[in-house]
Amino acid sequence: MAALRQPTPGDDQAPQPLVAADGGGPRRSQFWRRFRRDRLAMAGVGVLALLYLMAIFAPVVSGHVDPNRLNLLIPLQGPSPAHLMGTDEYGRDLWSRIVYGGRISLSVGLVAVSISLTIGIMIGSLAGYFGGFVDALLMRFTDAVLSFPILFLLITVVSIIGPSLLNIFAVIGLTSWPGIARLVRGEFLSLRERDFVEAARAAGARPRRIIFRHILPSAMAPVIVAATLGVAGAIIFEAALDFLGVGLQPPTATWGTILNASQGYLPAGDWWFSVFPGMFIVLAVLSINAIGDGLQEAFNPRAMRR
Amino acid sequence: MQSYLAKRVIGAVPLLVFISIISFAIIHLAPGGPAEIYLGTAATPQAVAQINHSLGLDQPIYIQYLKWLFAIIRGNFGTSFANGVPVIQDIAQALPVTLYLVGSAFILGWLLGIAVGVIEALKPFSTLDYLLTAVSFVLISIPGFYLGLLFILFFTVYLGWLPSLGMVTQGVPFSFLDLARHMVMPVVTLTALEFGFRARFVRASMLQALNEDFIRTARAKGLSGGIVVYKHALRNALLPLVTLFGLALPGLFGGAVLIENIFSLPGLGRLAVSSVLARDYPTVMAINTIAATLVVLGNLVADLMYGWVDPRIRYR
Repeated sequence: MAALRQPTPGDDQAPQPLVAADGGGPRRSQFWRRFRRDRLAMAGVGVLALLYLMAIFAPVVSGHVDPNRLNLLIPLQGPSPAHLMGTDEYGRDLWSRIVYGGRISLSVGLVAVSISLTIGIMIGSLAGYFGGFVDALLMRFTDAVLSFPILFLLITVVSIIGPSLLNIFAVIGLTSWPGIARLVRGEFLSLRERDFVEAARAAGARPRRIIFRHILPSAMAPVIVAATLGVAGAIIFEAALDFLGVGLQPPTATWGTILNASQGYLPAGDWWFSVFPGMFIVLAVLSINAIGDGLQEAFNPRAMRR
Repeated sequence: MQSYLAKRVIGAVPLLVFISIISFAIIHLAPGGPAEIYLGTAATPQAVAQINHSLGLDQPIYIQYLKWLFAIIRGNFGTSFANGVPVIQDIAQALPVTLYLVGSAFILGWLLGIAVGVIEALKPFSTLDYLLTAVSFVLISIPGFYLGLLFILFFTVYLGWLPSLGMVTQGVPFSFLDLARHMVMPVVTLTALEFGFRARFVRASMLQALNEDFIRTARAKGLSGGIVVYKHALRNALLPLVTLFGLALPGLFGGAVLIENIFSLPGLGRLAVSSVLARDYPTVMAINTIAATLVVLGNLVADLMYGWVDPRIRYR
């Protein structure tokens, strides 16, 4: 759940720059070789690619079945050849609802993380590069956001500003940046004293250029790992809000809203209604976490993990 | 040490005020107040204005905030808009449930996580290690609410062993066994999530510690394996874990919100969702403030524990 907030040992080790200081390619190709050898991570890439393809080509994959078409004659039917994953309480086809739901559930991760990456990199690099008062102020602010029980905040905000898709993107993105900011700041603190930064400064480069062209590329390795895990975190957050009933509202199909609707039918033993949508959340999160692990290992092979 | 403590407690005050200002602003500046919710279709502008006036919601927001702040300082959390009883009364009923849930999951999750992480790190890349690593990897990838639903499906619906709703059976005299039967699934669900994160962390951290030079030195001078592992390696491996003590709390409270809602436990998380939906401002503010205070306290305890595990650290 708090994927962004789980630093792993090895975070504090000097990262291998994604791009070697001489601008060269060998490190990068080494990185990809290591990453491709990681079978678990490659499996993650495969599964995730399938899930995204499924969401993109939802009309085809669902067999052109409208996810919102009611059929009150066949409510709560178990899996059958006609309805692979059964039907819900209104007789809607669950496979179709899950496939279309993937469009929302999977895009939340990407959009929210883009927002949190932008904010986190801005705040982290300013704090780390300039230090002193700027650093103290920005990090105090970061700590304040970090010490907020995020789910409480999300529930409050979303249910008050209204649970539209755009609001949910924004709220998750705006609350999940502190982990990234702290990570980037840490990298900047150690990198800004390096010779290549000194050289750039001596050559007359302005702070803006030094931050974005010189330091940031070298600081990206752990940030990419954290961002990857953040996608998984955002997917879970969104599903949690929908599940609690304060997120997107029915009849919109998302993995979370389907689970929310299924809850009441669980005691009667209608297992397919809960098991299938949840399985897709787990599949997505598992594969993203596997990719994140693989990236981390490929960036930092010395931190022996598996 | 004492002056450090005083400094930190004083330092926490602006942080809490800042958090409360943000919460207050978000809650009060949003459209659709409690009056609209209560009156429903009967909401005429006059009726809404009247209710807003009686609740003090027609005053400028900074006046409302200052009034709230000074009431809090005197320990007065106000009266619930939803049921008219003092907020503190609702909270006093809900807080122990949440603390019990979060507390047990926290203790069990960390103890299990440390034990399993150490077992894995002692024989890395063994079959047992792969198996346990796989388990914790899957656990951190399952959302808590889904795990809870699966438990209910298995233990309540199929096996009929455990009840899935509430803390006690209604209409039956209270017994500890009854309470325990109700709390097993919620606690295990929350523990499972916390365990996954901790085990992964401890394994990596322990592997790193076992690889250090001072471990080789300790082994070379003939210390027994047990002493090396538990006194030398474990102590250093747990150091970074302590920093996570505070950071783990927001996640656990978030997990508790979901789990209380699945298992219908009358805790803070359930109260939070229902009072947000009813725009019960005083209750929402009280819950946010209390949760934030608990997290800030947790961070403070983590910092103090840091000095206890690592005597090299001096508090200034």
